[in-house]
Amino acid sequence: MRRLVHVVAAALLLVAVARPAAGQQADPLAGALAAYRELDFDGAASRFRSLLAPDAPRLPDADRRRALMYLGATETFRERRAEALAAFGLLIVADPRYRPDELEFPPEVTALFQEARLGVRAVAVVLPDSAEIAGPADRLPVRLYASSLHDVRLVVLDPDGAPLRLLHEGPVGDSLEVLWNGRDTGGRLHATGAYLLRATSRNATGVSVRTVEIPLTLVRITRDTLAAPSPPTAQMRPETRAPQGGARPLLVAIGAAAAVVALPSVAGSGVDAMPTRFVVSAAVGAAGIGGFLARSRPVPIPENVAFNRRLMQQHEQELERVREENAQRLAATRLRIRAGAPRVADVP
Amino acid sequence: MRRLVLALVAWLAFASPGAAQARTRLTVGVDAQSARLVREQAPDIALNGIVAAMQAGVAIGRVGLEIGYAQGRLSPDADAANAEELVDGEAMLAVRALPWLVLRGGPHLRAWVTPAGTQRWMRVEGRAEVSGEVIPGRVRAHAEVWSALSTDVNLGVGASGARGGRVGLTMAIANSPLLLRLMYTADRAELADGRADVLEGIGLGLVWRRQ
Repeated sequence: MRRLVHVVAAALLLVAVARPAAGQQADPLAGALAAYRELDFDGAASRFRSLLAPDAPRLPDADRRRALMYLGATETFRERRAEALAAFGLLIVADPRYRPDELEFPPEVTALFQEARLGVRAVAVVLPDSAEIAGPADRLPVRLYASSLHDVRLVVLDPDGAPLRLLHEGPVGDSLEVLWNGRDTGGRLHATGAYLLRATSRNATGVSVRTVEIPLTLVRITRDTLAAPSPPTAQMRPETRAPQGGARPLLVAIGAAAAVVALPSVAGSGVDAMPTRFVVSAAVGAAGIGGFLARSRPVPIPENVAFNRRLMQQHEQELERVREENAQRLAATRLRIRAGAPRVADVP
Repeated sequence: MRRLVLALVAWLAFASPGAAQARTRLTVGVDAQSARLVREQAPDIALNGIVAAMQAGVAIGRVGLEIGYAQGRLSPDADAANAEELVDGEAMLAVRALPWLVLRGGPHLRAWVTPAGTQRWMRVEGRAEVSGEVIPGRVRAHAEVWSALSTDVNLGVGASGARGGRVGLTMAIANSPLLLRLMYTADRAELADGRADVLEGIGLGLVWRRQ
């Protein structure tokens, strides 16, 4: 019975892998596929492994996936289940969206592939090679494709590798679209620099098993902002002048106080004068002391104070105008995002 | 002589550098004075009381006209029956000769209404007032002296002269056209027979000015 299955499978493969003569010469997998078609599974497995060996010239991604798929099928036919699952596992990690063609491979191969898929936690991250975020409503679409249902954490890392923005954390069944606005929590576009988009797959116990990292190059395109105007210190006038100093007010007051005391004599009064006049004398003297102290302080120049106030008001208005202009220029800032090639790594 | 005085006044008023921009200044003041009159005779008599006074003035440039009126009742201690009524009025032509010097001249009438009759004095006085800032822009000290150029009284003995003075300060009230004024005044009017009236007063008042 098994022999019959092998024969049928080989016949199907013979049809599936048939290539024009010219194409066979260019296909690096041609020899291995020929052995596969001739049901020389041992020979085919050996050839596929040599093509996939680390020291062999690296195959293009599409050929590598085909080689892994045929290796898995070959090992299935060789009844080497573990080797088949390993080959399928490598294929699923490289391309979680990969699905075998059911017309090309028999059910026992596709069934084993499905089994392998369910056991592998891998995710593909797909985003445009280039995108631009201009307005507040613009988003960068990031689509996650999971090999099987598992928890995925998608995070943007800053140029220093520190987590910057968590975009998703939770299960992904088949695919999920996540949108990123390219802004920080304050709503400002991120600065120009090399960032990283990292998707981490976790197993059922929550342990990280695999990461996909995509380098992001962010370029902030903005108009230069205007420099804030300098305070008009050079045009400002001195608001005070040096203390007048001198004892003139004090002398005036002393003279007046003495005049109060002496006035009855000057008037030629022959009687005792009012003693309460000393109150006036004391008041004049106290005012003189106050005046003396006042003149030892800087004297305000009201017209200069008013001039400087007007100057500062004009400066504040100019400052406000520059702030508004700069706010408009910053609001017109755009963010250009370029995505690099993804790198897949198993977490040890 | 009169023409010479008038010419001097006219020159001071209109020939000064600032005459073209001469501004009109108005002043009105009220005072309450604690006054004391001592009649120097044998024996001396002292009377005390409160005198209310008011003044008004208008000045154009350096020249101004000022009038004053005061009235009060003074009486000997514990003898209200012999109280005397003071009625005092004056009109002065004022000339600001220098920023710190004002010269005044004019008639000064004073009447003492007593139970025995009314004693009327009439003088023509010449006055000089100097003033200086004590606190810049706020407080000025003033000192004024006067002397009677001629004196007359309705008593048979006649008058021999009069002189006096006033010293004090004015304080500008912030953000207001008002000044607070504190003055001490002493005046002596002499009769030909050697008797004299010495009138003193300490006055506190307000002055409103506009310029």
